[in-house]
Amino acid sequence: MKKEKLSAVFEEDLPGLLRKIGLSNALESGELFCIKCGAQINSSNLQIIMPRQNGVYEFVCSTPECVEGYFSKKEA
Amino acid sequence: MGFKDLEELLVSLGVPGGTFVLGIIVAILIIHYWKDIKLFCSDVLRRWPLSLFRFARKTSVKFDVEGRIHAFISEFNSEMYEDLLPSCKLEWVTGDTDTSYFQDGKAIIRISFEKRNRALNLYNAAYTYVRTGLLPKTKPFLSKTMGMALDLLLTRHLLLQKERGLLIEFNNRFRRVDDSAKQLFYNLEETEHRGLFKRVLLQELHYFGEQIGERAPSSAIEQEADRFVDWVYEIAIRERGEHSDLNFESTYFRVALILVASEDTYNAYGIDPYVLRAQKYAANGFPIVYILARGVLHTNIALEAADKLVKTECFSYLTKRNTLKRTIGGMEILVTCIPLRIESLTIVQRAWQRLTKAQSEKSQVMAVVTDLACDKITVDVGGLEVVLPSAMLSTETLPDPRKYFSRGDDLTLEVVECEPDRQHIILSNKGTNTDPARMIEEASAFLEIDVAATIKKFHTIDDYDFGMFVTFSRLGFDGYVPRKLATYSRFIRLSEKFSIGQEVLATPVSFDREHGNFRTKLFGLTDPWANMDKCRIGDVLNCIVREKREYSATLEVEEGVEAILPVNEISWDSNISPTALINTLQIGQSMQAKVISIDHDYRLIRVSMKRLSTSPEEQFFRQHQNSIVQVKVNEVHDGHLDLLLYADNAPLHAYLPIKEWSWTRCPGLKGMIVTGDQIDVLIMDYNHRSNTVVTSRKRCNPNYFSEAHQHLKEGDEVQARVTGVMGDCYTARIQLPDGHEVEAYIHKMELSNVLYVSAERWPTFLDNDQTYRCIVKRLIDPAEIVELSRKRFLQKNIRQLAYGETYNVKIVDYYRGKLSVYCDDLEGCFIRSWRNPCLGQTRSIIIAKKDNETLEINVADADEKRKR
Repeated sequence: MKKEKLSAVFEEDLPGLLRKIGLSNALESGELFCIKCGAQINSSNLQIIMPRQNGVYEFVCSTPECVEGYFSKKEA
Repeated sequence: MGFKDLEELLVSLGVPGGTFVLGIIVAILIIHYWKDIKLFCSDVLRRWPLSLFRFARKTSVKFDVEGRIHAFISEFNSEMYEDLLPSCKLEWVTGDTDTSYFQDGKAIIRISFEKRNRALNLYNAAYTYVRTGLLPKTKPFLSKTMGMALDLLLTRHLLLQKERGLLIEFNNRFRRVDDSAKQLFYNLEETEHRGLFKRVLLQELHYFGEQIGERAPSSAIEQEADRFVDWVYEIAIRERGEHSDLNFESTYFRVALILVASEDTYNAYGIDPYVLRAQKYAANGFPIVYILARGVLHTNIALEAADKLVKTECFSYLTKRNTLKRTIGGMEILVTCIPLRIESLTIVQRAWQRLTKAQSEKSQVMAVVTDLACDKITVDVGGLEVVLPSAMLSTETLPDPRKYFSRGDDLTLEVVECEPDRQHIILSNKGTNTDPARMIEEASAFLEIDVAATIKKFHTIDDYDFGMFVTFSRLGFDGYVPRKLATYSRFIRLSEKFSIGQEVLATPVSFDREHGNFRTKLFGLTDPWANMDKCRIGDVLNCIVREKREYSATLEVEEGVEAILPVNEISWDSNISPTALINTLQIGQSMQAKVISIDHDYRLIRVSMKRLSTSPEEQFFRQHQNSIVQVKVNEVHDGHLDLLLYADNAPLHAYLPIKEWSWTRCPGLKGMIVTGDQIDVLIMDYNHRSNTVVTSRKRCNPNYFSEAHQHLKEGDEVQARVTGVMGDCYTARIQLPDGHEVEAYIHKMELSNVLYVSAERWPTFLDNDQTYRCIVKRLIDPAEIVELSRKRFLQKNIRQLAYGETYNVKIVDYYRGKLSVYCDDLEGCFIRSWRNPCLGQTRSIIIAKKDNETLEINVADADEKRKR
C-alpha cells in the first residue's frame, strides 16, 4: 500500500526549526506575514510552513480561510 | 482469562509451543487493531503524568492523527476493489532535520498538543491528506471546482466518521465556498448517497488518472471529466421508468452499466437479458461492467445475474461487499453495485470452443455487429472479433452493408470454417434468419399494408427537412418517408408536425435496396386541394406568410395550399415602394387575405390584403356610376388617357381607353387632347387590378343604336349631319324617325365614285354641321355604329340630275388641270378654265355632260353660261 507522508512540526519544536532555517529573528521581530491574508505571523498563529526553491519559505496563518485558500491557490 | 490461563489452555489442548503460538496471536491482533491501539495509546499518554515529557506529548499527537486518518482509510478502501487512498504517515520535522529533506511545495503543518488546538490539527491534517492523497494523478486533469468538491466531500466523510465535533468547523468553512463548487458538492453527495460515488465515480476517475498521466491537462479533458461526473449523477438520481444512457463512452472513459430496474423483465425473460447485455459490453471492449440495483428484490436479481456471469469464467468479482444500506426518501433501501471485471482472454478462449462445437454440430452462433464498412462488417462472436465480407452477408448482392446492418444488431451465423490453431474462422450470414434477402422477402408481404411505425429521426440538411426515418416494430427494416409523402406543404417543418418517438401508421410502398429501407408513405395523408372546391373569389382566408420575394409573398392557407400575394395587392397606397411593402410582412405571420383569383388546375390562388377594405377609387365609382363628371387629363398616351378625378380634394386615378373616346375608330389620342385639359366623361366601370375608375367620353352623348336597328337597314337613304373628322372618317349623326339620334361615320373611300380623294384634300369634301344624304352601308353591332356611304348615294342620284339645272358646288381639289367639285347632289369636274379658281370656294354650276354608266359628270360655270 502506498504511503502518503504528512510533514508536521510539533509546536514545541517550532522555535528550533525556525532557527534552523534562519527565520527565528524575523518571526520575533514581526517580519513574517501570511502569504494569504497578509497578517503578521507570530509563534501562536503560524499554521503552515511551505518550503520553496532556493531556501525561500512561505507562511500561512491559522485562519481556516487562509489554510484552505492557500491550497486552492496552489492548485490553481 | 489472563495470558497465563490462555497458555495453559493451549498446552492442555495439546498445542505444542503454546507460548510461541500465543505470541503469534497477540502479534496478529496488534497488527489488525494497530489503528485502535494507536488511539488508545494516544489517549493514555495524554492523561498520564508522562505527558510532562515532550516525547510522550508528541507521540500522543502523532498516534491520534494517524489513528483517526488510518481508521477512515481502512474503512474507505474496504469498499473499493483497489486501494484508492494511501496510508498516512506523520513525519516530524524539527530543528535537527536536514533542510535538504524539505520538498518544494510540500507543506509542513504545525501541530500542537493543546486540546483546544487538537481539532484544528486534525482538520488541517485531514484536509492536507485528502488534497494530496486522493486521486493524485487525476486531479491535475479535473477542473478546480471539481477537485475542490471532491476534497470537501472526502474531508467531510472523514470528519463525519472520525471527528463529528469538527463538522461545525467544516460547515462554517463550507459556507464560504463558491456556489459552483457547492452545487457540485451537492451532486457528488447525492451520488454518494445513492451508492455510486466511491464504487463507480471515484474508481473510474482513478482509472482515468492512471491512463491519462502522460498527457498535458487541457480544458477539453476537464470538460470530458465533468460530463462523466454529470452522467453518473444522472444515473444516481434516475427514477424508475426514466430513460438513461447506460454506457458512457468518450476518449478517456468507457463505463458500462446494467440496471436491474424492473422485475417485469426478470419475470418475463429471467436473467438472460442482463447476461446478454453484459456479454454485449464485453464484446464492445468495456473493461468493467457495473450491475446496479435498488431494493431487496432487484438486488437478488442482480446477484443472480452476476453469479451466472462469473460462473462463465468470463467475468470476475472485483469486490466482496456489493451492497450498502441507504436511506432514500425516508426509507432504508438496499443499494447494490456489483463491479465485474471482464476477462477478455477467457472470453476469447471460450468463443473458439463454442465455434468449434457449432461447426461440428452444424448449429448456428449468435453474433453482435460491432463495426461497419462499405464492403464488410465486423461482428463479435462471444468475445471473438470476426470480419464478414459483403459476399458472406447475404444470398443477394448488397450494395452497401451499412444500409442493412447497424452496430449492436444481433446476427445468427453459420460457421463455415473454424481452425483455432491457425486462428482461422469463416462465418456466413447467407440464408440465416438475419440474412437481409430473407428479411426483405418476409417484409415484402407488408407492402401497401398500413403498419404501426415509430418516428426515429428527421432527415435534415441545411435546416430543411427532406424526410424522416421511421422504425417498424413488425418488420426487420426501417422506413424512409420522403417529405412529399409526409406533407403537401413546402414550408412546414416536419419536426413541428411530428416528434421523435411518435407512433404513426405508415404504408411501405417499395423496398429501396440501395438504402436498405422501405420507401414509405404516411397513412391518411390527403390532398389539401380536395377541400378547396368551395373556395371562391371574394372569400376571406386565414393565411400564414411563408416566403417573401421581390414582388410577391407566398402565403399558406392550410398545410399544402399556397396563395400568392402580389406586392401591389398589399396596400392601396401606391406611393410606398415594393420593398417597403414586402418588408411589412413577417415570415410566420398570421393574416387574412381575400381571394382575387383561383385556378384549380394550376393550384394557384391569388389573394389581396388591400381588398379586405374598399379603395377610395372604388368608393367613388359606386357613388358616381353612370354619371357624367369633369376630369383633368393627367397624361396622354396613344391608346388611353390617364385622368385625375377630384373627390374631397384627394386626386383619384381614372382611365379612358381609346375605344371610349369616340364611336368612330380613333387612330390615336395624341394630338387630339393635351395634358391639363378638362373634359366631361361618363363613370363607366372600376378596374380592380389597377384600382382605377374607367371612364368614357363617347357615352356622354346617348347613342340609340338598338333603335336604329328598328328604323334602318342596309341600302336605306338617310340624312346625316356631319359632326367632325376622326382619322380616315367623317363622323356624323343620323336622326331617327322617333327623334333619337344614332352615331354614324363615312369613310373617306366612301366619299366619291370618280374624284381623286387625296390624303390632304378629302377632309374638305364635307362641311361640319351640314346635312348630307347617304346610303346606309351597314350597321356595325360590336361598335354600335352605322357606316354610311356617300358614293352609293351619288351613284344613285346621278339619274336625278337634270341638264340646265343649277347646283351649288364646292371646289374640293385641283388635279391634273381639272377642278374637282362636290356637293350633296353630285360630284364632277370642271372641264374648262375657271377664272380665279379657289379651293373651298362655292360656285353655281350646271351639268354640261353626264354619263350614267361611268358616273362621270362635267360641269360648267352657271354664270358664264348664262352670259353666253
